[in-house]
Amino acid sequence: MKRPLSLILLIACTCYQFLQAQGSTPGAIQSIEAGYEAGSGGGNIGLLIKANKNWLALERLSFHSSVAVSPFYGSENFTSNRSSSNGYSLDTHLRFYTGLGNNIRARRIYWKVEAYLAYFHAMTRGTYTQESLSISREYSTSEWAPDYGSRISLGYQLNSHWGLQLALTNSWKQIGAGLGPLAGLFAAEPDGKMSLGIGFCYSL
Amino acid sequence: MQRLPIYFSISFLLTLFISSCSSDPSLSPSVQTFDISSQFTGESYQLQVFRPAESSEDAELPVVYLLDGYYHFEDVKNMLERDLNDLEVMLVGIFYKDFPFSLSNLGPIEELREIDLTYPIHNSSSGAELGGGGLKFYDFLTKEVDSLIEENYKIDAAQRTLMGHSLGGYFTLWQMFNFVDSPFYHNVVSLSPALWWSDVNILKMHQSALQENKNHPFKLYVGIGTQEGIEANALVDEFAERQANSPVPALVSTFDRYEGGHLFSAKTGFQKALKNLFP
Repeated sequence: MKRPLSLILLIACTCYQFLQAQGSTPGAIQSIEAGYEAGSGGGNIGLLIKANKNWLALERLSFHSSVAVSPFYGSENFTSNRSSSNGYSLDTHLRFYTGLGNNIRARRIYWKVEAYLAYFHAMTRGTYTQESLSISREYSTSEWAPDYGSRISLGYQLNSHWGLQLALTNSWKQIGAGLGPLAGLFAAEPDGKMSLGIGFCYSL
Repeated sequence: MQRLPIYFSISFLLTLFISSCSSDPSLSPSVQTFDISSQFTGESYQLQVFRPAESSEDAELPVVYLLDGYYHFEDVKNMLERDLNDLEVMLVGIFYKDFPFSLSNLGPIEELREIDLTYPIHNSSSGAELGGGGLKFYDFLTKEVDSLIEENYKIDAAQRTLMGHSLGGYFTLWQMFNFVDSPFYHNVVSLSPALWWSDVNILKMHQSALQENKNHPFKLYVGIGTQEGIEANALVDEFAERQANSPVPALVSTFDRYEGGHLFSAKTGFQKALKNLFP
């Protein structure tokens, strides 16, 4: 009961914030982030594009909502003993964030903490062969699944437009699957993806 | 009015945090623990035993042995208390006594389970010989663990279940084929099994079982997540196809696939397996 209620609250808050954002700050988007992501598991090379809408900006504190797309690619190519596997996985995450940012050190350094609700598309295609038993099989899957998690980022403002930042994104979906908060460290698939990103934030 | 969004934002983060928190891992009153040192493996283990609070002490319950208790016991226990609370089974989780589940103990736990849950050895691509302690661990389970459980509880000895995930899933299948002449566990649950172990040893055992044409009086549930990669899924497909085309005599098998990765398949799979075995 606790979890569905929380999810409904999350969705309600996100919707409210997007609505509240309209007209509170000029323009639809205040900043854009782009970066390279090193992800855990299947799809481990990723890109991120994220658009941020600041709906309230105080002197040092800001509240924002964002939408981001992150595709991750990974290959499964190996030969060991008498077997081999050749293929790839591509998981693409569409995430809706809300969170807060804080400037410190004369506004040069900033950090953000965000929570997200998301959907990801997971695709895997490939062939497995095994000599001893003459096995040759193809495997493919393609599906959508919901996700939720958090993102913590730390940045350095290079000038009035450009900031350089590091970010740690972690799905929380696998909490309760036995490993508690460590799930992200071990998850080898999109449903528990953890990624470390480096990139830029451009303020419009 | 302008502060309202701030409250919403804070509540958003709080609710996410609350929704993300796992349940209290401390033992509930319905869980008893036993420490046991094995003469077979030389290791010290802890057993955690969950018996439904509403079950009579005189009732002989089917007992479900769960490998890798440090990863799965809490979750399966919660399942039995909440989602499957009409299921009258006793759950016994196997833990390493000297290595309680924590980040710093993950290395030793992984090393120990690779030895205990496998037989024969696996030759890695780097030439290292891995694992191979499964025979001793089987003796520990069937002679030491089961004796301790039978001394302390009334169980239905004709309804023993062994459940495992990953290497644990390999172990449950291996013991089923290996000890077919003297079956100890009647129900076998194998989730995301490491079928690649020792040059697809399980599929070779399946082939031998067909050639020997022996009865395998087991109820078997095999499950895997769709996002566990090409090799893992291809091998389970091969196993399922071989069993469907040439069934091992008397083996009642169910092969299941559900959305999710390697870890999530445990969460989903144990629930589906218990429903399948105890409808």
